Amino acid sequence: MMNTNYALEVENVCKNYADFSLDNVSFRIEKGMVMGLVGENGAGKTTIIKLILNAMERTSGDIRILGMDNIKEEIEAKERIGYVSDDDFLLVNSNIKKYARAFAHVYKNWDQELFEKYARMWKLPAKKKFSEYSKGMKTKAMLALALAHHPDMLILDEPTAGLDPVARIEVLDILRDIVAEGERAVLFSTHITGDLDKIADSVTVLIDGKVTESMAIDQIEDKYAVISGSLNALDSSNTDLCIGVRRGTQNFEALTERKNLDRFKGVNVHTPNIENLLTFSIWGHRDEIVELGGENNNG
Amino acid sequence: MAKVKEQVKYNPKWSGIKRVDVSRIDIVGRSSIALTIIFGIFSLFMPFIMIFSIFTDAKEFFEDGFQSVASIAFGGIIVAFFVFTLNSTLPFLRMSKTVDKQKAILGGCVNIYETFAHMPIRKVSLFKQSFIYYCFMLFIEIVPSIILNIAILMNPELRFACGMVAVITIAAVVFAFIMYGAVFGIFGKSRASIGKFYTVALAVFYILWMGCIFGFFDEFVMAEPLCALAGVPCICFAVFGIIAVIAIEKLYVEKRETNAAWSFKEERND
Repeated sequence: MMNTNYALEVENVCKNYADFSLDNVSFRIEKGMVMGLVGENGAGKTTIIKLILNAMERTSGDIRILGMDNIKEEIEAKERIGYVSDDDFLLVNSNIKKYARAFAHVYKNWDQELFEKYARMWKLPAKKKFSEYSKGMKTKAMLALALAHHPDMLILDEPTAGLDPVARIEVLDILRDIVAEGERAVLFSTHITGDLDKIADSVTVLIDGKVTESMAIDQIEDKYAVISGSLNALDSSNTDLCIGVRRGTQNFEALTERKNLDRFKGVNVHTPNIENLLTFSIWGHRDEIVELGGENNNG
Repeated sequence: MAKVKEQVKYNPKWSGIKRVDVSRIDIVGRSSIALTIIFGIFSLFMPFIMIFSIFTDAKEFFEDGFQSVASIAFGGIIVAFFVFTLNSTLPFLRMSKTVDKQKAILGGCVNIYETFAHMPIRKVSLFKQSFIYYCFMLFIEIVPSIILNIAILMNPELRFACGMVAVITIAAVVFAFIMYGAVFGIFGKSRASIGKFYTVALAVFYILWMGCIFGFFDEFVMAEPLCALAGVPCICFAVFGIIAVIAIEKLYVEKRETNAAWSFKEERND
């Protein structure tokens, strides 16, 4: 059942390729919330975003943006979306002034003053070719273009990938300011989980085309725990209760559900973060037991 | 950030086609308009010269070792093709994003297509916008060849040029149809296969063009079976070509692209 309280509803979406498939992907983002979409490279993050934008055809499922069907009401839905990608869509010989004119002709709610405010604030030269922009400047340019038509939903596809540390921090600061306004929903796809720690309200973990977890950030520590200790605490009766395990010669580290903690004797319990959830989920999915500081063993 | 001198306003009365075309020019720049005007005048000049020559001194025009007619006909077609590629927003020429300015303008359609893919624009509007420029190319290609065939029919003294006129007509119609099929996704949507279509079509076209100009095909074009095609059969073929393209566009392509996803070739990179 679709609900207009959600900015984005992805329901049982499937997409089949010859060598990969998205398998019944479902998640929802409430209005005003920031969701991190995390997964390793090739997990299907960009595929989901392309499906949301109707940039490729889905095999089955439903996608609603602010209550609107993303295909039948494509124009109305896209009018309210701001999109920033890693693989920039900016023509190298064009400039931001030309793009602003084009966007003004296409978006009903284009706000030239707001655009100029962002461009001034982020020091984006109006007539400089995009070929002369740094990667960080291109990301800021895409953000300025995305924000200046007052979108209700932002879709960010790995906006910090490939940025140097300074540019990455600058872009994250901008995103934090945007998110702090609390008015718009954000889908932030990334494999750099540290980017999400300070801005995300919820996270969806995507592994090999499947959603393994979709939950609020504060639920991660309520539901899961990272445990560590001597290998003696790990035996055949409780190893299966671990989402993923890293094992050394004498010690181990694992992610498990808190309800199972009493099955592990003499272990240290830590609060997990998004990175723990993602990495242990990947290792668990691959059925690998990972050596602490060493190579993987197929389990 | 310099202010945009004239505040651009969203015009709700614009059609999707106009919105696509205006924003395309915004992004690519006015240089595309200048190039379109230059190429457009040049491509229109070709059939004008042809028609003028036919109605002033047709015999001399055709007798000039076929060089004049071949140069003008094939030259007009290829320049009209430039006008089309310059203004189309369909991603059929996969140029690198880092090529030099001239190529980037020609290949700009790729990036612009990808920009449009997440904007509030229907994909079918891009197909309709591109079809308008395709029709210009179709007009420049086919109308002069029809006029050549009419001249052959009206003036029996021009029978010696029938073979050449038949070659030009067939080449123009086939080239136009192959370009339509490749650009508008009739022959599949793989960029690799479309690239092969272009290469083969342009290579055959160029060989025919040069061959006609330099007289390599003089004996061939004098062959009686080929001469028999000039006139009514070629006019019918050309008219059928125009009708076929318009019918496919309206009855198949535009229906296919309404509410279609934007993907041209689906590539995974996540």
